[in-house]
Amino acid sequence: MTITPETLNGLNNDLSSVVGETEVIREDNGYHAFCGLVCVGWLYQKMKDSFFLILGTHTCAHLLQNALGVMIFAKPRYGVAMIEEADLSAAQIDITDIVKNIIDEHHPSVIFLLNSCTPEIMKVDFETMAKNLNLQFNNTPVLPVRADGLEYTMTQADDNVLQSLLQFCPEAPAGKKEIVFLGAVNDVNAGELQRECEKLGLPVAGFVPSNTFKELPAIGPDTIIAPLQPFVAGAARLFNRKRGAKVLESVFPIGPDGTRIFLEDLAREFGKEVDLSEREAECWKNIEAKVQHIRGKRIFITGDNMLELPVSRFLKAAGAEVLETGTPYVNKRFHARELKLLAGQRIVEMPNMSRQINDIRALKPDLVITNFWQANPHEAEGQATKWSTEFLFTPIFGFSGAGDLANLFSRALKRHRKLDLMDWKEFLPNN
Amino acid sequence: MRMSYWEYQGTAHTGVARVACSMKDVHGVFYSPVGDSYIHSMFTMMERMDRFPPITTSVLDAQTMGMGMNKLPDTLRQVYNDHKPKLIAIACTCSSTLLQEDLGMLAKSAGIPEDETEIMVYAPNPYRVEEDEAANGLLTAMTEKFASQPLPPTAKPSVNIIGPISLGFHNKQDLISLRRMLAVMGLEINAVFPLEAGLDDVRNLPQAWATIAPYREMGYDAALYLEEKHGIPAVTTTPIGVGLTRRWVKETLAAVARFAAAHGLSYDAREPALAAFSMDQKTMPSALPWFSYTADTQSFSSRKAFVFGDFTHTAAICRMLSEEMDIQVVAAGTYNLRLAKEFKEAVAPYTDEVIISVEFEEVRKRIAALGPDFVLGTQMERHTSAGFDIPCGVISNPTHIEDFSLGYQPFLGYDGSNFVTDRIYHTMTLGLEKHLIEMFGDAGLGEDGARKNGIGGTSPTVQASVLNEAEREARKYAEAAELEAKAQQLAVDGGAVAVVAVAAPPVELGWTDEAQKALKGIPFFVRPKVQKRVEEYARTHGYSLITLDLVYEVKEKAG
Repeated sequence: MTITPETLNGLNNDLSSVVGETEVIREDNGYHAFCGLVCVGWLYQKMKDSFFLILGTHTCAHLLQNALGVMIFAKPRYGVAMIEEADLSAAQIDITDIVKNIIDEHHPSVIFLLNSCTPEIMKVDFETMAKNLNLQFNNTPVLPVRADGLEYTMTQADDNVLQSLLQFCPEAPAGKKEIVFLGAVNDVNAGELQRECEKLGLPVAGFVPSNTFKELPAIGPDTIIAPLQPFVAGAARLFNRKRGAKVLESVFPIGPDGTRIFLEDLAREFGKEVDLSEREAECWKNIEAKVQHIRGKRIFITGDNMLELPVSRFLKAAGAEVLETGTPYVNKRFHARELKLLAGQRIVEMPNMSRQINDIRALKPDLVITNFWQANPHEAEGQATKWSTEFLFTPIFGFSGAGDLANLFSRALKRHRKLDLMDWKEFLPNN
Repeated sequence: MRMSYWEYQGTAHTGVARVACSMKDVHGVFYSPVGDSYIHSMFTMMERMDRFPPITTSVLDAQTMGMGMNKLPDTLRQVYNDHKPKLIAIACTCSSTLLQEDLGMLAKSAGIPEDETEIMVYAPNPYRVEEDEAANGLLTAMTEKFASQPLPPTAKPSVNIIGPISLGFHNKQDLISLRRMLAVMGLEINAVFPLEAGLDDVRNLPQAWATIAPYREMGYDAALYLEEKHGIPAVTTTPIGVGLTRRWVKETLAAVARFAAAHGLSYDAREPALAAFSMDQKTMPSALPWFSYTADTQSFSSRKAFVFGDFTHTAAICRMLSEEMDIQVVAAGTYNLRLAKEFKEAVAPYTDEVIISVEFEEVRKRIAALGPDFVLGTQMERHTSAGFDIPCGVISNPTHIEDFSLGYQPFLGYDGSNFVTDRIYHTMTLGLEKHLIEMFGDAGLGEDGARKNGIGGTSPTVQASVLNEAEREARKYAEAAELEAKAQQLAVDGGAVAVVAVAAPPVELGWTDEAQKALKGIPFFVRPKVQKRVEEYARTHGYSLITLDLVYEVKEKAG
């Protein structure tokens, strides 16, 4: 049998769809993403009185210590209840003692119990397990969260964690029209978003997740849910369904352009027409020293965490040419506004990694925005890169975050240009 | 079921990936959920691999599982088209193995021409076999599959080196050291496996005159197979330290001579002049013997070391510490459960306490209890020891970004003996400074002054934790703040510092004012240790009140 590209069924595919004027190509197999468990890396830091318990295996433990590069000095507020060989044939998996020890040692306000691929395949009855634990430990809620890599990438499991929090948000009475921001952002970004709202006279009830389990904001039928990240669609939908809260349909507050649209749309929810174009222009001016390195550059985003759509939209606004925007998953409804602004752009869902590598070799972009592991091999081929996973660890939201966002790309480009002056070609791999 | 916060080793598929990533024309394919591909970054980030790792995930997800589909044949075709490897090794991970699918059948259905790309299903049980054992097992399986046919020996005497591997601890630099030595010994290298090898190198293994397998957990069994199957002698001594290196030289020469005799070939097995092994061809190849005779190292004899790590490095370094540096080894341990019995035998001559554990907290407890002068361990022991203010040098995997130094830092051979001696000595240096200060109180520096001058350190006791609590807290918060930024970097240290809690003594002991004053006169960084020693003595001898006389009595008896 001869192998031709045509026989690669399922790889070059026909799963594309069109949203408005924006085509989203869907590829399959051979994509790369971290699994849902990785969201623990930032969420345990965000929620300071939480514990994240993963029902998993040795592989899950190894993933967590490697993927996020956190070497543990002392016991962190996350760990793996490790399924060993004997447990595979056990009548049922019992983690009561492990949960008891966690409560005794860490005194968390809440335990998030995350499943993983192995218990999923073993068909462990996860919900019942959590229910039984809640009966035994009634002072510490144990919240089941689906995070297995069979279904969820890292940021999608973040969404599942947020969904589990709703039941602990107090009920806001009807008529109390306040904003609840949805998404784990750091204190600096959160503070700025709150300040911008105050300046516009928009009342803010709080953030989900909050820094501690005890300070979750009240949510009711007149709450305005303002999603901050593209991956919190499930939580937004749930808050709407269960409490009748209204979900803001806008772009995400990333970049000067996105932040302006986001705030203007938010104000409109309160019947206020505001024009923040001057504020946006001022922000662009403030970050011009960084943006000038991005302008006119050809950029390829391979995709790993779903923040790609707003980042791509920002890069386009900054004057870059984005050759491809890869992303693990597109939610056509939740991302509709971003997609509209990306009309005409090449967007690929679940991109095939091998195809992307070949395309990058052919296109030779000025910058490849890619995951942790692909960056160095691309650099070895002479390609400037930037880690996309950094979007998750950098305060890129709001007007104040725009500089940090631009800096991610301008620094990489500037550094490359400077090193290129060294004439080091013979010292480098593949010279 | 056990609670895990951190593991010394990865699982089986990491081991398979390490073999594939070592080689030129072998590709690893994992039938697994997408998240198990996290291992890619270990190669490209820690080892700074300069090509795309030759490993691919055939994604198992809920959707395809529900539809009863399997993408493995598609994945294999793509790997074949894109990379044209000579061998594809297929493995499962912990979750996909439970599905018990016939991967061999699935692979066959991909229709890949066997004469171009061989396919091998290698599926060790991920619940039983960890990273090192899986890699070692694959080396053996490949040797059995591709090196079973005898070949005529090479024209000139040559050896195989089996064991150096991607993500191996200082393995690439060990290889430079071994190559240097073999060149001096007049031996050519027939093949190195798996690092830098092609599948043809594996096929050619049977033409060597001897096989060198310096790492007990990696390549040892493949070397033994070649010995049994083809009569190619295996040299399994680990050349760490001067004594074992010289023995290794002699054994290697003897092995080649034995092979020559058996095949009616001629070979002159004389040991080259020692100076020929040195960097400048003039001096001794290792300065360790002279170093150990120099007067300033006499104090080593009273120093206590705690050693923990893999089998190979831990066992060999215990021997080196004890025999070649006359340092006391208070405990030696390994996380290699499979080789526990052999490890115990290997370190028995050098230590009274052996620790076999995969749980870093067990190791931490023993470090806390034994209070060694210094620790040689893995990156985890380095963190543990930092919490106790005990100096620690890293001598073993798990792999860490800092283990891939740009400079020449081998552990094996005469060059390795020099580097390992430096590493041990630099770890201990602080201890020597302390020794001088011990004689003269705190040299008028006081605690703060001493710390400012870089002389710090206390033993893991209640006092130590109280003394340093403020500092630890400060450090903890500083580190927490940095964590966000650091999390982007693979294997960069972060997290919070351990605060040591030691249980209160069972019997309350009283100290007279006089005795307490004497205790306070002792420099702060050895004070807890002295206090512990005196209290232990008092307890075993039935005293409830510690007097100045008793303090002196202990000093005299305990030295």
